[in-house]
Amino acid sequence: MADYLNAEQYGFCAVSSRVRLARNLADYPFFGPQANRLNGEIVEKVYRTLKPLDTFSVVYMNDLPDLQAGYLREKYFISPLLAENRVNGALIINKDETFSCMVNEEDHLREQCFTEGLNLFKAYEIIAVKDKILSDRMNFARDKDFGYITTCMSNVGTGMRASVMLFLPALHATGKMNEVIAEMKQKGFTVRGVFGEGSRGEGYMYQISNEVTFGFTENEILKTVSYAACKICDLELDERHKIFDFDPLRTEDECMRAYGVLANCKLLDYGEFASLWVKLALGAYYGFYNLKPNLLYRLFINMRPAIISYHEGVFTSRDRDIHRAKLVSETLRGAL
Amino acid sequence: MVCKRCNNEGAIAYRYIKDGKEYQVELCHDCYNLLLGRQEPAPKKKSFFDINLRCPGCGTSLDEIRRTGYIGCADCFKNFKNELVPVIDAFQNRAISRSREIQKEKDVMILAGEYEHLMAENLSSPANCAKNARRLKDIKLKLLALGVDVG
Repeated sequence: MADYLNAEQYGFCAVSSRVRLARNLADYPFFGPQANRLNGEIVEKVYRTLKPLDTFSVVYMNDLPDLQAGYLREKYFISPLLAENRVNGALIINKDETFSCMVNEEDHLREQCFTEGLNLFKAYEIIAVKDKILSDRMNFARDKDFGYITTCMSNVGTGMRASVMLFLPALHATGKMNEVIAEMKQKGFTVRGVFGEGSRGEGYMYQISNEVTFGFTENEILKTVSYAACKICDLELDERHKIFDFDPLRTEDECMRAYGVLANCKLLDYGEFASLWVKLALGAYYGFYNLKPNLLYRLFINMRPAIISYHEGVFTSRDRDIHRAKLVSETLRGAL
Repeated sequence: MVCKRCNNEGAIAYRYIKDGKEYQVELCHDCYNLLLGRQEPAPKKKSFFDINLRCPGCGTSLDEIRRTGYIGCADCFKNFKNELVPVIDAFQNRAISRSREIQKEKDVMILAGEYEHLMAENLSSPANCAKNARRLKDIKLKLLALGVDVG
């Protein structure tokens, strides 16, 4: 059982891990017009409690410009539901962006912690400390038999959703992705596209998470999701080897062409970047060039339109394409 | 037809005259008798099928919770806890059933352990047989209900 904990070997497959805890305050309504009226003060309460622990900032949804909302969405810090709550929704996030708390999303608090690669236990370690402090100082809605009371029944119990983002191009290419999704569903996991519920698999990125939050301890959930992620990574890596063994020269040619275009082009739109990036990432896995997985995944996220606009201060698609091409070629310089 | 007073099905239209004018009201049998002073209102039993039960805290009805899976406040859960178990089960993909199976195994272990202990007591001293007979019978029945036949 200890083998699956050796997550380093899955670096070219497991992009990031996230642990999310859903909590409600017992003294406030959960949703509806009453909640809209009363729940604005929850943001201040949570911020005051978290402030001594780290450097936190608050982002209110009610006066959030579209560009910033897009930026936070593309970085996975906020969900579409929170972005729509222009009455009393807010995001409280620490300086190094490892821990954040969505306030007045579906639940009063949605704490979340991200780590790179397959590292659910570390993410839980970080979030559990903050959750304990919040729990001691605020009156969380809890039942002695059922655990945490969340707005939606699907989160009652631990209120915990543990997810791993996986990069699965080979399973897609060999047509086995649907089989994997169906099997995981049978075993009590959900597999979704990169932007969560209802989204498609952009860049062949999929998120696997636990479906059940009740009747299991937090440790059991972390173990089962980690184990499931490892199993899918094993399948993906097998398929990658089969693709390579089928025609090594053609595989290398495709990956090197992708590298060549990305390292030298002057205009690069996001669609073209995303499709070339997949081959670039596979080439890095096969060892054709020296690019670390974390660098590749950060590149994939940072080339998204709203993130480029936010960081570079460019707002037309042509300007974004120019900056994207420049940033990518700078990143890839020296990788060969 | 729905009763105008208690919203239950099975109402009948009753006609009455007041101040020379004819009126009609739909009432169930109990509410009609209550109106005429013939009986005390029966205390309302909470039923999962009583869709009009509302949370006193936030006003969310049990039917709304069952349909949407959304709880309105912490009081909803406190008030409708028993009724919500099958709803949670449906949303959580049989997790509750699994935890109940585990609970059942624990119950069997505890009862079986007590059964063996009492049998051992009976063997060590026949005077205990009479004292333990009733409890042993009770345990046997409980184990049978859990699907375990101790003979």
